[in-house]
Amino acid sequence: MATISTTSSSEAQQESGVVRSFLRKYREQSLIFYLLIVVAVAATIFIPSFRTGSNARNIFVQSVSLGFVSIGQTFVMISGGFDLSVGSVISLASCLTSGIIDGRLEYLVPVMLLVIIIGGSVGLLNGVLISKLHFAPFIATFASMSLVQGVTYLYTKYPPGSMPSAFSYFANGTIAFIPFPLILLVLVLAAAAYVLARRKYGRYVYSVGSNLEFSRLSGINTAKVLIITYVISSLLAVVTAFFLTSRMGIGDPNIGSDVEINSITAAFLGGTVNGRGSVLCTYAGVLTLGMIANILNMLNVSSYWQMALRGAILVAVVLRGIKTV
Amino acid sequence: MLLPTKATLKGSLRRNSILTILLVFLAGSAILFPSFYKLNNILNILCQSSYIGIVSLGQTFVVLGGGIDLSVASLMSCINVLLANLTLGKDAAVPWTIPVLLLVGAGIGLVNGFIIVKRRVPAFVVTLGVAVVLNGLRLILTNGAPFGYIPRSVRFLGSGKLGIIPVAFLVFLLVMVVSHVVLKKAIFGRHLYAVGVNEKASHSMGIRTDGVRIASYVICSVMAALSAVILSGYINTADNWSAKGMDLDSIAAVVLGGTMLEGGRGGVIYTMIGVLLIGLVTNVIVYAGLAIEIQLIAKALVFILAVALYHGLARTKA
Repeated sequence: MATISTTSSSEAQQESGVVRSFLRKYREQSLIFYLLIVVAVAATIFIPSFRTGSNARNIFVQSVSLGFVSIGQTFVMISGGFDLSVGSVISLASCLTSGIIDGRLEYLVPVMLLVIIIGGSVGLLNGVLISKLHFAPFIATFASMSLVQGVTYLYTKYPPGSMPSAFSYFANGTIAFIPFPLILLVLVLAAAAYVLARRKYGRYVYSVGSNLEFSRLSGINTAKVLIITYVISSLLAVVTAFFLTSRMGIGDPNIGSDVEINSITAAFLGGTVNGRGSVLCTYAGVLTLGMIANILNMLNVSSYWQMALRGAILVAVVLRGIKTV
Repeated sequence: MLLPTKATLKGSLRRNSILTILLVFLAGSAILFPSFYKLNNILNILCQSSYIGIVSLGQTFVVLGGGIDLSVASLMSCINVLLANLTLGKDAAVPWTIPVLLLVGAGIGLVNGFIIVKRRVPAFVVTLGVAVVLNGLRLILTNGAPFGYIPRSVRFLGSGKLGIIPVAFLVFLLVMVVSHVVLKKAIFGRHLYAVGVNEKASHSMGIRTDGVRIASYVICSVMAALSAVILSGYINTADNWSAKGMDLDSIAAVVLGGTMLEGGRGGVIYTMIGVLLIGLVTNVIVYAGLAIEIQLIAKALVFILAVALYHGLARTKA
């Protein structure tokens, strides 16, 4: 079951409503929504300080950084790979941004463009290694992760430079009381969901993930699809870097250290596998992880225990086995 | 069915090209940095190569079976910390601590192997998850600040010498010989190669592929534990991140040496050459006065080059 678009499912959509057909089409992935609701309800009942509006707002804003990256990771994982280099791209982007700008407002836009280009070229490297040189995806991104991390450490070992105060709008500004980063995330989420569901490229990503060889033989330019996918992932990593740098006011060469694991875990929680996945479900996974972290912080659980728990969640999620199409 | 590489032309071409690269590198660095070949420096490199070598040999077993183990770095740091904690520097504690630590390694290898093989989950996801869990557990145990000391006997193991030969290198040689014999002569070794080349066919032939693959992960983790003991003796301290980068190092050594990542081709000699290359690259960079970060960049670049090169050679054969 669960092929992507067939006429029978669109008839079912007209009959039983959008939500129910969404749940049916993404049956395996939407388990995450039930988990999300259970965790949220349990926390609301049992932890008084969870119930405040500012706490809820906090959770959403915190989810933005992991959210952007996980959207990119979802694209990559649907295409059949993993992107281990996102963390180091975030580190490099944040260090270059605050290091080169160093508080000067007039450098802001050119440097942001430069960093976007650099980040995109890492994605290009990944895509080329995987599609043209036939590297296994995790080997290619493992190597590029080390490469980018090395370049980052070469540039700086400590948080460098500074950001002009106007830049803090990226992370802290609001439009009609809604935090700007959240609005950006919703836009990106909607765009990603649209591309995956309705655009030709999106369908090609699913196809390449299900079976690379058949896709190639069907005439799909699999190299182009893969390269675009990894570039998207790296670009979203750069966006995340901008958000984090804006929030802290400075870059940090270690800022991306746990990001790969968390984004892969969130995507797995959302039921992403080769050839199947949904950015909405992944974001539900992001929110779940964010809520769990929030709850554990309130219960004063040390960050070391949280680290061990996150690894355990990853192992637990894949323990049920990864069913590919 | 594919034969082990020794019998094919392309295989010997590949093995010879690695040897050539190694010799060129040796010659080059001798010309550029003559003082590099001082005895002290060579002995240092031999010591370092020993613990990197042992964990790389373990990684070789896993890669030959078609898998990969990213948890070795985290496991090694755990063993390092546990060694200091459990012995508290006393030599008397060593005879029971070392076997316990090796058993811990075996246990982690079992966990890895079981989940990967029985649940058919991609190897790197599981070992990555296990690595994170181990990191967290280690930080919980030490609360950020490791305590204890490394006993004198372990220090001798890690940095001591018998005559002029480092003890660590002797241990490495021993492990190397045993691994080579197991891989080439023992039935398990031949089964491992077969499983790496084609798991389904091996299964149909009656080979217990699950057992073979799980065993490869156990061997890898035990070797990582042993390597961590030697590392502890070499650095003479307990550190939460003492083995940082060992995952890249061991996989790079295996890949550089010519063992193919899809499995089924390669072996101890290959990996040994890879280990020597990695050790040389690392040390020449330090010796040339370049920043330490260049090591990471150089290793990554060499890794990418090696995989691209060997994959290209392998694909033209098919």
